[in-house]
Amino acid sequence: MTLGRGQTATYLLLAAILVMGGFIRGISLISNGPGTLLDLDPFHSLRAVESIMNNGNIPRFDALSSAPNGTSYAFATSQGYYSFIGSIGLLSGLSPNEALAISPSIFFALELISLFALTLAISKSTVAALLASFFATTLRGWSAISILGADPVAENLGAILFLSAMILAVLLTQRPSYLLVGLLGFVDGISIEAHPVTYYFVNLVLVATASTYVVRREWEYAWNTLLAVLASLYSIALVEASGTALAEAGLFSQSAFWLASLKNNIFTINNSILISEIGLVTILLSWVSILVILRHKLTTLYMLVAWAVVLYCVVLIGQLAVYTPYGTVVEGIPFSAPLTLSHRVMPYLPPVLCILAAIAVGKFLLPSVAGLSRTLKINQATLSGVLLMVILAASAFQLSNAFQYSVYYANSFNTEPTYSSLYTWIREHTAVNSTFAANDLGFGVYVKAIDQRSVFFTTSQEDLTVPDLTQRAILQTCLFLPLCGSNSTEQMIRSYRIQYAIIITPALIVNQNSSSFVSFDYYPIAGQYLRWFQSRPGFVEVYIDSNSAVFAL
Amino acid sequence: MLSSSRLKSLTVVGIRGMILSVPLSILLIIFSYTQVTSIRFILALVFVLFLPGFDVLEVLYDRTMFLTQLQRFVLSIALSIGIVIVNNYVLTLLNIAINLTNLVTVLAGETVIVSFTPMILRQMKKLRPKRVVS
Repeated sequence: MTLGRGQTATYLLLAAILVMGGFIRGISLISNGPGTLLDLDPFHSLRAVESIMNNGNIPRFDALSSAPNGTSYAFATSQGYYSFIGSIGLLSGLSPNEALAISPSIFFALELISLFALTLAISKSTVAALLASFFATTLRGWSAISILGADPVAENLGAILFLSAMILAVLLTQRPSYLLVGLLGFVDGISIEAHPVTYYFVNLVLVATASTYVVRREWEYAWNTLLAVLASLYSIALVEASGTALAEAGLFSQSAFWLASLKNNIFTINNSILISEIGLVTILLSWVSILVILRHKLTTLYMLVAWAVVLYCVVLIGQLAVYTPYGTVVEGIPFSAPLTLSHRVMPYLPPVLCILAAIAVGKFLLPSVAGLSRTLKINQATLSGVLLMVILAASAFQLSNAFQYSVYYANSFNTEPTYSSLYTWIREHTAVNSTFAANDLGFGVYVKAIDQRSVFFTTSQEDLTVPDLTQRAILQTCLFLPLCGSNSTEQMIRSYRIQYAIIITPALIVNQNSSSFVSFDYYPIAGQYLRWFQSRPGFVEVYIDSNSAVFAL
Repeated sequence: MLSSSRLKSLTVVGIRGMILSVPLSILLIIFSYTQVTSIRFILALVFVLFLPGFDVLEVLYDRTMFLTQLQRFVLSIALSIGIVIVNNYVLTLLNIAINLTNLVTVLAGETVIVSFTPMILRQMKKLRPKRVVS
């Protein structure tokens, strides 16, 4: 196979974008080294991957979840992702930490290539395809989570499968065949193994796409797309095989609503978050693109509009759920968790906005330059080059933001060393079957992954998917905030067999009474809060350092 | 000597998967039990992110000829991810441990078998008696 000059230049530019994006995303890998995991979710993944690599099977029971009893809802969200990383680790001889830490860099490159291929397939414009990949490197915050180095989350894999499914959906309109229906059904179905939310959003978008075909009376396309959605239902068998029942996923709707409703609603996306993370330039250009597509009835691009609209509706429903009295209506919708925890939409909404923005430039603006160049009597290539430079310069601010965010993420989210002596103490001085409670809602995930001790309340799905969620939230509140009577607290502690209470700083403490998070940030840990803890009957201080303390109960 | 058209048809249909799968499977078996992590890592990526899906698309080549090389590459990745995940479930359900030996056996065996399929199918097609329309 020989590449033409144009193709070579395109692939070289794509490689340059990959290197630039890889550098921004890989800052943590470069500064912290491979094997360092940042943030909370990766530690949840770590425990699951370790379990698969050490025990040689996909677990159906997790003794450390929903303490003190454990649950069959074991690592339920992303069994496929965990076993996939486990396979990489086993084949390459890497530790679970290393396999996880390196994986986002690989998935990042593949996601950009998939985005390039998708944009090229739908727009037939190499400039648009390159720009889409470029815009994707400028994402930050929740938007960047799926492609951020050293943040191995299931969405890394989910984003690739999502984009691959969209490529197949595009191909299905260009070359309809039952083989492509089958392939789309397979990829769509397997996305549930990356994350159920991926599957949820893939199918929302596919159904929305099919509805655009129905509107255009293109019955064959609509039928093929819906057939692929139906074919993907084989994934239910995989979910059952992973030890998860759909009833439990349904129960998570209430838990998700509870979590999303905790003020300041940190898991809910709104317009200002979208603008700051995706960038004003990308959003404005995507709006231009949508208007042109609708105005000129460019039916082959309707799919992109449907994709953007349906996922933006998820953002709106998320806001409706947590900021208005209609929350209970949303809570009542079966499997509504991805709607209320709308931050989960971020690996899937920004890519379409990047594609739309890129199409606005590559397919609409640049071709229209020809007429303008004749009027202004300027060479068309020069004018196109200037226009591209203006777009790139306008995106430079967002690119710089993405770089700064990545540096901040690499430096601030590496919390493991901060509490390393606490982890060591727990491992060496407590029994394996001890049950802990931690003031910070997410800290238990670290304790479970690093020390293999059960923690009775965390933000992990398998810990929240419990029928007694409110009861647990009340105990969490009473244990760590001076709002309850000591007798009732003591009774609840006994019923959940909690043996140790960990307090760390900084921490986000749940206050069930006011449905909010209380921010606790005092360094070194001391003062009135610690004195209150020390004065409580039955609380014995067994460990203290500048960041943390442990009390035996 | 093969004529250019025959050579082209051979490189496209059938043996491309074999040319990749057989030597890489041998390398996977050889290096999996060494401490050369860098080569093992590259081979691992090839076997979990590319080869299984690529071989499947080669089997379906006649009906996926319209795919560009880039699309073929991206879809190979998606299919490989799916195949590896399904493999792990099958191993768990059959009570076979997910460990290095079993993964190497399954992935190398699977890719080699699938890579031979297009050639076998072509041979079977040749051997099939032609229908005579009277």
